[in-house]
Amino acid sequence: MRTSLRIELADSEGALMRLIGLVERRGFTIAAMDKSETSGSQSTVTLSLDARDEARNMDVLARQVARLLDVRSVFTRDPGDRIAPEIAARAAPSTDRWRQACPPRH
Amino acid sequence: MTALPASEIDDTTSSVAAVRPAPRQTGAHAVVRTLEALGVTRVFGYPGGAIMPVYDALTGSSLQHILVRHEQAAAFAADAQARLTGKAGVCLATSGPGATNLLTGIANAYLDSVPMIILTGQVPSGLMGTDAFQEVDVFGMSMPVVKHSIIIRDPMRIPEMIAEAFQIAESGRPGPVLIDLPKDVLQAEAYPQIPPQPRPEAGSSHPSESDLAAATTLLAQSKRPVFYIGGGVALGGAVEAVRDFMERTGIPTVATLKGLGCPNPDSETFLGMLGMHGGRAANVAVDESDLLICCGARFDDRATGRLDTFAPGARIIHIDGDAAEIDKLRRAEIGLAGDISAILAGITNDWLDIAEWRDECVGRRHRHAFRYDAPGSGVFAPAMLKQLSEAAGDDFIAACDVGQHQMWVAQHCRFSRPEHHLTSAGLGAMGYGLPAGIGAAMTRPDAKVVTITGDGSIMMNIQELATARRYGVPIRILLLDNASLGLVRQWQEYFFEENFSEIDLYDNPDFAEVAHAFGIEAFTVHSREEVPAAIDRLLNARGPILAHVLIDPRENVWPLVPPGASNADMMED
Repeated sequence: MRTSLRIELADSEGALMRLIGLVERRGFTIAAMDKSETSGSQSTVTLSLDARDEARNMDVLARQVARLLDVRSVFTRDPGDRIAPEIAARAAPSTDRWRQACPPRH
Repeated sequence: MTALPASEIDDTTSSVAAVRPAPRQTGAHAVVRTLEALGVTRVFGYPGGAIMPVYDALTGSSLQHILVRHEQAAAFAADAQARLTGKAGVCLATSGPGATNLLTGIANAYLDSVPMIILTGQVPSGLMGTDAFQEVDVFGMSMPVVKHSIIIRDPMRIPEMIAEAFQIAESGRPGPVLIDLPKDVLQAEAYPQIPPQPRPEAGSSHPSESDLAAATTLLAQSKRPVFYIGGGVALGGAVEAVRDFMERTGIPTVATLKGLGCPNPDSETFLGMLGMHGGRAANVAVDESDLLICCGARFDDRATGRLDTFAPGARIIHIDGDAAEIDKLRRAEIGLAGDISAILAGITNDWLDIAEWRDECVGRRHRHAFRYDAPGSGVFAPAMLKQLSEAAGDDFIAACDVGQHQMWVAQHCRFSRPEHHLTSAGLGAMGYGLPAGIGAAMTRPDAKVVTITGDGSIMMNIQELATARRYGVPIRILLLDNASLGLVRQWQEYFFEENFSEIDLYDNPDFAEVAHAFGIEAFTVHSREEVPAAIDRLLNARGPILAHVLIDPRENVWPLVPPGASNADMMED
């Protein structure tokens, strides 16, 4: 099933590579990706993801992403609230469609 | 460049402070002075091109540098020091091969959640990305096996970034943090403020009252609960809370490899290690349980066997300091992330009635206790290890290598504290035992530190005998020699139709003679009757000593859960 993650990411060296590597290693393929231009000291990354097998759990992935020191906030999208990945990648995610997966890091 | 540090202002000769010329300070000096300011007293390392400025700055510093003979050993020794102290161990190497040689040790620390700081030299910034001599992207290579990593590109930020790295390594779920140091940054003139201002520590989260009440309700409904504890208990500083919970509830308890030492080893309700080489009492209790209280464990495949048959009738309460472990492999009815001690204290057991279940579990433990009456006159390794740990007492610290002996140590040795069992649990890295033992014995010279190794594992880092000799490390090495890669041989015997492939080490050197060549006291044990004297000699040695113990190559580790099988289907001798 395709699902999405929205990540607010600090603008630090290796942050994007660390994020993408973790998502791939934890059993998800990235179907589409969008990264906003850095604003201030952070950017927003939106990922459309496919799990490699049924045992993979998006909530667990969100918590694993949230452990990364460069990650400020993680939002997941309700799997039923699916939109085309190319739209998801371009659209500014509205807060009513995304729920925060973990407490934000300041 | 900034103003001179206050320490360089000489106000002893005049009422008017006079500024005298200070020695030129560089980024490398900032590295060393920051480590000193952060309370580091010892680093394990090996010099080379890109890291040479740091070695230059080490001269005259208060840091004790331990020169190992391979960078992997530096990481393993720092790992052991960290496990014993709870503070980040520090290792140091140059770029390229120095950095890549550290990677196994970094992965080991990552998988066992050990706080560690890894300092690597790097080629000058202008040459990074040009395939320069001894350039590898260790920042990128290490990403999957570090908690965090940084490249310091501004010498003025060295103190601040190193201090932050320590805080990251030691806080929350600990782990290794790599700091890559380009040579030009190390050589640049710099006078940053040392130490930097510490950042406030993040507090740990606490579950809600309703979650704790739900856990209490689940426990009250249970007739056959089992307490399943892992390495996260020690990481969370919750050993006393676990012991208190065990005593308060009387719930039968099992432990993972890293959980050993958390329960009071003399507790009647501690059933031993579960999993692939766990005892029958532990595995059967889990299999029959109706509630599994998983505490600081992560449903690792070595503990669970075939996951979909693990504790098939049990509901799960999962307690962990790391929220990312909840639901990762087994869905929990109740997941409680946060401070383990506070959570355990918040679960009450007023309505618990499990006397019959407890007696059944304890009775099974007695009926299936390990036996030590092996026939013959050869050394029976499990019996020798049991005698060794009992003779050493509560100060026994084992630094295990990987193989059959690692499992025998877990099954037969007694540990008063979890940090006294130094073992490569997650990575299973042969070669860990000797450098870890060196790191442990330097950290706790008062304790009875014993490296327990095999003839396969010792050869992975045997060069570290030179380190033990150089520093007169009080390490005892118990080398169990079965002239083969025993655990692989055991699997080939049972699961590969006795097709013994590349496990025969018949041409091993005489290990006692090898130790002698390094200037280390050593002796060989051939028979069972020599064991008591050998243990006595080992434990009373003041410097490094090696006991080369010949054991039966056909000896196996029992019980054994076959690959892909349920823990309930364990094979026994």
